Amino acid sequence: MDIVVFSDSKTTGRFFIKVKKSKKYTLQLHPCAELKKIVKKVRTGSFVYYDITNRSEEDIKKAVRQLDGLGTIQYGIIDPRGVSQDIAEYFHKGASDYIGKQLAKDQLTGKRLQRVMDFGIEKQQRGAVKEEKPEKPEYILSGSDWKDVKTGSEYTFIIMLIELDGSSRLKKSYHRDQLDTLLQRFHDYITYVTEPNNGRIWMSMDTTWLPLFPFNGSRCSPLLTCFRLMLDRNIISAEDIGFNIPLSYRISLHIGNTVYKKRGDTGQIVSDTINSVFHLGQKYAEPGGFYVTQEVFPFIPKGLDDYFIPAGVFEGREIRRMKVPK
Amino acid sequence: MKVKPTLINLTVKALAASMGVKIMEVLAKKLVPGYDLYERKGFPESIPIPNIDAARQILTDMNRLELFPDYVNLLIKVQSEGHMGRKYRISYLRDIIKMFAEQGFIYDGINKIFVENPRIRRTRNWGTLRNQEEYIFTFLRLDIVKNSELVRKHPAELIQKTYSDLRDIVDIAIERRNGRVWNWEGDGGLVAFYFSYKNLLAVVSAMEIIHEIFIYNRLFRKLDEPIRVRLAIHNGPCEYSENEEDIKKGETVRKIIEIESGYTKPNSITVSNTVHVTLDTVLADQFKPVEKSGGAKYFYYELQWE
Repeated sequence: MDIVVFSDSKTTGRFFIKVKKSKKYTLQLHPCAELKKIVKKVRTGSFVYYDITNRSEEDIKKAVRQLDGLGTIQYGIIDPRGVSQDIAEYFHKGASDYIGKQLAKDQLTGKRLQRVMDFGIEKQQRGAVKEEKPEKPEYILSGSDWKDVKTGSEYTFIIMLIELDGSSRLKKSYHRDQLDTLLQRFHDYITYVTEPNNGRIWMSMDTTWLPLFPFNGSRCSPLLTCFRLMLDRNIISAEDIGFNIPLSYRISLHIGNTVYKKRGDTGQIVSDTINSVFHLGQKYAEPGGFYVTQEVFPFIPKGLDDYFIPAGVFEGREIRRMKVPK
Repeated sequence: MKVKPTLINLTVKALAASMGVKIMEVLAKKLVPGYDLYERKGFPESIPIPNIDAARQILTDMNRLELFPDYVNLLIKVQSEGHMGRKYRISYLRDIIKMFAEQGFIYDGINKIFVENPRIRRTRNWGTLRNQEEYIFTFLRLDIVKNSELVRKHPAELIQKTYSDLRDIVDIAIERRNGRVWNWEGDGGLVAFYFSYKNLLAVVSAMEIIHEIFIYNRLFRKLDEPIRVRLAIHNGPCEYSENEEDIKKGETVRKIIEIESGYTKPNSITVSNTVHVTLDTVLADQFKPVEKSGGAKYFYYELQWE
């Protein structure tokens, strides 16, 4: 493997004596000024070090941009005088190694370099996963209400999925008539809270409901509706549902595209977005949780931002979960 | 309550068709002790009064004494439970109830009383309570924490807007649950619940207020600091009065003020035991015992997060 070092210091080569001795690596040394010219020719999989000694801040930024922009190599920073104020920033921008003042006194070993390489590979793999994320679809705004939404056409909607937890327990606990009453009351309540935001229950089955809201690109008011649904769940259980049971439900909220058809004619719709929302709500979401996809993140009000915590990546999308009120 | 002549006429017809004069008079005596139909009619007791005349006289008198809805309440009760072991079927009862609804009154089956339809009108006494009569109410008291400090620290205009927002939060929470604000001062107020499951309605109103103030503080507040409230709920007898000062003198109201000011933490609700025991477990379980409650049993709720 090629270790390509850009440095204007005559002593930099000595950091790599041990590495050079290893037959695993070949070392190339170039002046910093040749970075732009040479780096393009560096073989894929090589590791590049850039020595920032005596380089201006502007030069360093430019070099980091160039190195990160290649995407085919890994790189590290050499800072033997330890002048960098924010070392972490190099890593944020894609670096895989940093040789600071202390480390520069010692020589770089093959073992350490291997660790750096492993770290870089893992990082690249994570990056690859990131790249596999579904591309942000072109939003086809459906507007603030339903007046311009035509059946058979594709639009961007705010899609909410709400599902009662423990449906099999409910079915065992209640007679069919009682269960129907409970489900109807819950259906009515969802209608009651979604209608003010122009929501329509678009699909429903058994203990799952999917309200759809027009999306105008600038607002996502159902987010606050869902927030309230989580806050008020005991009020809803006691006042609107009855049955003296604490009702638990999970909610997922996403913004995405789908062809619109009237309720009842949705059986033939093939939509990745709708599938994904169902998967998120039914396979990923924990009981009693409210989950939002990365498309919704920009619409989380600043004042509630700290009530939405990272909850991993699902089907290539970052997910956040609302903290659970106790 | 002003009753339309068409409703009186229909009820006269119903009453005359459903029972004899004797029982009509017995029911009237339940509302007006000593009521004497013959005296009212000016008939000697030896002459029988025709059903229709008796019904008209009684209902005219009840209406004059503002007891017409109460008399209809008795008719509903007689139909559902019977009287002195005998069952009665009251003709046109469904139509009478429907006509009440058209006049803005709905029948509250729990308290067995006609009450104004909150969608049509809202009066302090629900259109039915009488001055100086005692009823069992559930009260909700709200107080803004450190009100004087807030008033000193912030411009009057901001305070006014903030308190108006708070009043809106309270109104939205209580009005759809048929509560009535009986007293509202700058720093809080007293809300009364009388109908339906009044303890539950007061408790869920208070919980909603706590939740909405949380959202308000996070998203919409106008002051540079969050607003905090203390809420208390207690039930008991109270003489209804149009006069706010009279209401404050009642023991139940004095008790709720004590619970709110002495045993309630900021941003929490304290409920008395008499309210707590009536709650379904789904709500009751949300409340924890107040540790230092001066020998009484109180329970509190506050919004907590994982």
